[in-house]
Amino acid sequence: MAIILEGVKKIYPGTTEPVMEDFNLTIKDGSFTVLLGPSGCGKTTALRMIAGLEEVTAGKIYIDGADVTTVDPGARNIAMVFQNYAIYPHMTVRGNIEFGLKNYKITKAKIQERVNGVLAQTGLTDLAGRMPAQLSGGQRQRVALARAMSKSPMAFLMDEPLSNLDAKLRSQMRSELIQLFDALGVTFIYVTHDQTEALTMATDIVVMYEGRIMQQGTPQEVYENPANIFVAQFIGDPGMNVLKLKNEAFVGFKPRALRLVRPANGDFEIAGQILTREFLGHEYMYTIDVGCGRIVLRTGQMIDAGTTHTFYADAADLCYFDKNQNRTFEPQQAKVVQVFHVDE
Amino acid sequence: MSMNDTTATLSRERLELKERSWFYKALNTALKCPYVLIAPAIIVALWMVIYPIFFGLYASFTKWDMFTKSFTWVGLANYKFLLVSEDFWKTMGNTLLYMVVFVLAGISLNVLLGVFLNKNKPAHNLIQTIMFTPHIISFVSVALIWLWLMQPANGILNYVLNILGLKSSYWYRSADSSLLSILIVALWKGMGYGVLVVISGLRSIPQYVYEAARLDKSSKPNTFFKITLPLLSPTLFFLIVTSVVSSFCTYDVVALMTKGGTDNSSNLLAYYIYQQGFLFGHFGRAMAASMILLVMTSVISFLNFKFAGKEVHYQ
Ligand SMILES: Nc1ncnc2c1ncn2[C@@H]1O[C@H](COP(=O)(O)OP(=O)(O)OP(=O)(O)O)[C@@H](O)[C@H]1O
Ligand SMILES: [Mg+2]
Repeated sequence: MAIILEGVKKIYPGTTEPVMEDFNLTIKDGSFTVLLGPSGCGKTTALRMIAGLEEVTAGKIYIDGADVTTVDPGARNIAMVFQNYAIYPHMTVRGNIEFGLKNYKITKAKIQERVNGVLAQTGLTDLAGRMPAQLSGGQRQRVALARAMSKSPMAFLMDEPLSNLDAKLRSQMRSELIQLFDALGVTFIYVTHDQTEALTMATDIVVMYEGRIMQQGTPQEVYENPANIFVAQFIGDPGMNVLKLKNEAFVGFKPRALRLVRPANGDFEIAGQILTREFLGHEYMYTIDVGCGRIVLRTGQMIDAGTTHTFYADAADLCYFDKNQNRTFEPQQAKVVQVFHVDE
Repeated sequence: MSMNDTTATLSRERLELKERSWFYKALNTALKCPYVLIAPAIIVALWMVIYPIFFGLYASFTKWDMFTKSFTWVGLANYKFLLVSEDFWKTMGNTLLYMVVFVLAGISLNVLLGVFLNKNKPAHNLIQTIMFTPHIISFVSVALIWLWLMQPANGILNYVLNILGLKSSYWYRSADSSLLSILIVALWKGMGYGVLVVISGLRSIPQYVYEAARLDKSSKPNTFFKITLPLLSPTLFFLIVTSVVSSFCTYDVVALMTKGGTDNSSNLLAYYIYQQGFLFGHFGRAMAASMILLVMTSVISFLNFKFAGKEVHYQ
């Protein structure tokens, strides 16, 4: 079920600044689309407008070709998993799942069959009679998921569903969500500010910033080929190093692209002093002062802090951005050797 | 010896000194015996609550005029008097009827108005403030206002009834409508408080629950009965318990508007007690009636906690 947002504008009541304006987004049928961006960029707002929980100030929303801009949330054939799970606190696990089904026109026997089905699927059968207060965070998360699954919606909307779980449970749930996505074959729209979640689960990533879409593409595309400096610096751990060139353009390279020996195709070199060294387990992360700023290097090599070195990068690892910070595919300088712009 | 060692020695010495002081010792002993710590509260409770109850119980078996110290033991005579008194039974009937209507009508109105007013719009907040004013006005003024509104000859209420094509009523003057009249006034006075409590209960229900319900295709009435009411149950329980007790103890509205009349049609137990004691001088009977009121209030409160309390969903 494809979902399209067309020229959407949102101003929250009581405020004057729009959170987003002329927002256009197409979510492909059967995709696992992740809305990714820093806090406050409007991910939740976009998701809630798709769900119908938030009105749009202007623009249109289409689900499966139908204009649903003013359609009730219950009639949009979607299910949502909230960040805080939004379980009914006064109903048992079973009651929580049944509540929604009772509002559909299906027989009691069918309801029980479906409830038992999703309980088994989510491993909640033994907990069916428990109240939410008697469940752990991870179990509540499953209840929220089970409730969403029970309605067999055409699209699942999820707002940071894993953010309240511990690291281990989170990675376990990540793979379970991928399995669920593969099994159901319906559209998933998933909001997060965690790029690991985005890169591991998504088939499509939408990188957002201040109510705008900075780039939309597969995880590989946004990771390898950032469309602008924002995406370049946002994706990756940490993101790209970006340095300003003399001609106002920019050059970027990933922390792992830097090396200490000149490569055959060495287009780039820069001298700098190691400021700090952090041990990450399988490698080290260094902060380097290069005069016109600081850059980050990740490598397995051990280098002492305080020492000065020349660092090189392969031409193929360089990304150029024009002065509007958008990606450009012509090298901006024949050889990038210490020709950086230094702010006064 | 370094600086640190010196301070350590000093503080150790100070500690030893402290341990030897009588105050420290006394405090230490007291802390080991919790009853010492709750003694003040127990003394106040014994003096202000337990003593009056036992005194009342004793006095209910006596003939007493309150002004002399002569208590004449009469055994169960006071209770017997009450149990065969028609007025007493009429009053009991009135009290129970009043309680049931006051609680049911009061809470239904509170919830209806609370749900209606629970929007953060200026108009709603204004109405809420206006509704709360009766609660802070003295009952004397409230009674005066309503006596005037309910005047049988040319009161505004009858005027409105006539406009609607209905017959005039004698309101608090007639045996048929006196109990209803005091109920209306008492409900009106309590409304603002009840609505405020309901609204604060409604505001404590998280918004996301309603969003989940909207996604679950729940209709408005379904959401009200299946989500709002159960999640409001702690608030409703509080209102039920307090309004049961307050309706049993209703005195002021009766004293100010009808004095229990006409023909005991609006007499309630609390006012009956006052009549027996202060108007007729039978303090023994008044005490006996008080004991019955105490037992009734306790039994109903107990039943409340036992049965209604079970249905309460604390989050
Ligand atoms: N109810 C509201 N009223 C007014 N402004 C709001 C409201 N909800 C969100 N905003 C504003 O809209 C902007 C986008 O908020 P939104 O919740 O969509 O961000 P987000 O991308 O989900 O962030 P996060 O990752 O922190 O959840 C923020 O600047 C926020 O302050
Ligand atoms: Mg959010």
